[in-house]
Amino acid sequence: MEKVEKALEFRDVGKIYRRNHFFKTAETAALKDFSLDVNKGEIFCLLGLNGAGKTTAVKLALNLIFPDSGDIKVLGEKPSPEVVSRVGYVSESPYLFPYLTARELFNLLGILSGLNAARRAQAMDRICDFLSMGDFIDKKIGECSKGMQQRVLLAQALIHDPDLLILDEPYSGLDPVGIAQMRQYIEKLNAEGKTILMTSHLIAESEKIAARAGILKAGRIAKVIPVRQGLLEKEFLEAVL
Amino acid sequence: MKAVYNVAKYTLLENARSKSFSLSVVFIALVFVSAFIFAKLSEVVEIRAIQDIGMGAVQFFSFLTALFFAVKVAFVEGQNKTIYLPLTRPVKRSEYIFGRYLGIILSAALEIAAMGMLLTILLYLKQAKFDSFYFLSYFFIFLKISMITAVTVLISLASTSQASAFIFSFLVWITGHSLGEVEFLLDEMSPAMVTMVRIFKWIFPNYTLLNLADYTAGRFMAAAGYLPAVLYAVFYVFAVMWLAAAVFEKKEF
Repeated sequence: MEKVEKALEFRDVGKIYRRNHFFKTAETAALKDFSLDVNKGEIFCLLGLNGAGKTTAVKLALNLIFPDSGDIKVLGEKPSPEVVSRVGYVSESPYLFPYLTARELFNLLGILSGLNAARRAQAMDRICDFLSMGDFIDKKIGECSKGMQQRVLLAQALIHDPDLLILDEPYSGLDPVGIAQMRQYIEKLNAEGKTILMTSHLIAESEKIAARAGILKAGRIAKVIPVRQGLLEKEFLEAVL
Repeated sequence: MKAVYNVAKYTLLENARSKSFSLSVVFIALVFVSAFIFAKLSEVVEIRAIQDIGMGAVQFFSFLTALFFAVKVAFVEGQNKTIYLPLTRPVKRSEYIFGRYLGIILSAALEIAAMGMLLTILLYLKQAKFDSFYFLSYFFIFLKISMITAVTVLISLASTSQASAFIFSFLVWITGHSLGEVEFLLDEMSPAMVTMVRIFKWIFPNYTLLNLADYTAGRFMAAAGYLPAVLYAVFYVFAVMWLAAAVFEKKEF
């Protein structure tokens, strides 16, 4: 049997948030014995109720927070700034620099990603074309509409042509047209060979594009299932309730 | 170094476009109003008053702007998650925070230069002569702002709220200006208090060493000139920023 290559591996990962307040430490276990594999080339959807640990898992993969226990591998390596250079990340809301234009932001992030001027220019042309950003690329991000900002957010994740794309609630705050557009972009990127991990609690949308889904409940993977049309909601409810 | 340079460049660009620089407009208004009010007084009092109010305002407004930018970079961007954009790139966290710091102090330098130029022109119009002392004063204000910016970055990284970052930074600014005065009371203090004050002098930025008024009074000039004060400020900034980088390296977002 052919061995499936993994884009992302979590093994028995534990993460506890500690908050200090007046010499007292409050602890919240966000992930407990969390294990999950995302195969290369697939669209994998991580589902769960609010506070289930979806964003924590994403942040661990991106090296923004560090695990208390267990092992994580991103594209075969432990999370580090170097491996993160092969990952694109789209956050839940358009957390961007409002006083920069999209072009300036891409330029800065391109430089930080190690791209030279020629590759940055090439990447910008490719992305502008892909996301139809030509009319607002030189507009300050703070003056762009929510839909435009969402496209800027997706574009910044693609500037360095990553192998793995992590989308945290990509449909958050979008209207139906925006959701349909985002779905098309995700499908196109996957067709180009990019592995996609997305978190969501929009089950119907996840069902339309994901190959497999992992259902998170209170910091643990309750089950990983292949997505079958019309059955995801039932499986999700069974797992979380 | 390329990352530090570019982060600093875009930080400067962002700051220049933000509304925070509008504080300088308040400064301009303040200086001109004071100039007109004091024009009613004798010439000597008028010039002295414009000089004191002007210098005080250059320092205070550049302090406020630097404080705002430093808290934004080291605390607010972590809270609103903007920091995820650069930190999910192959850039060392220490390079990023140094670049941000550099961008803030360059913004402060621009603001001090703009306000200083206006004040110098105003004083020239009143006195009909240039005094190089003003330029030295602006440079020393810049050194003080560089120090408090580094401290604010460090405090903001360790703070749990924006308000506490502002308050603690403000307290450090005030304490730093009081250390020189406390020195005069050492003879009256118990040995334990003296030790505590000496420790404080190492921890807090000692702004007395950078107050040009003390130099012109001949307190430091005779000893070694301005160089020790400049070296002290540079050393202090590097020490605090090194600590800030170490905190930032371990910080979870």
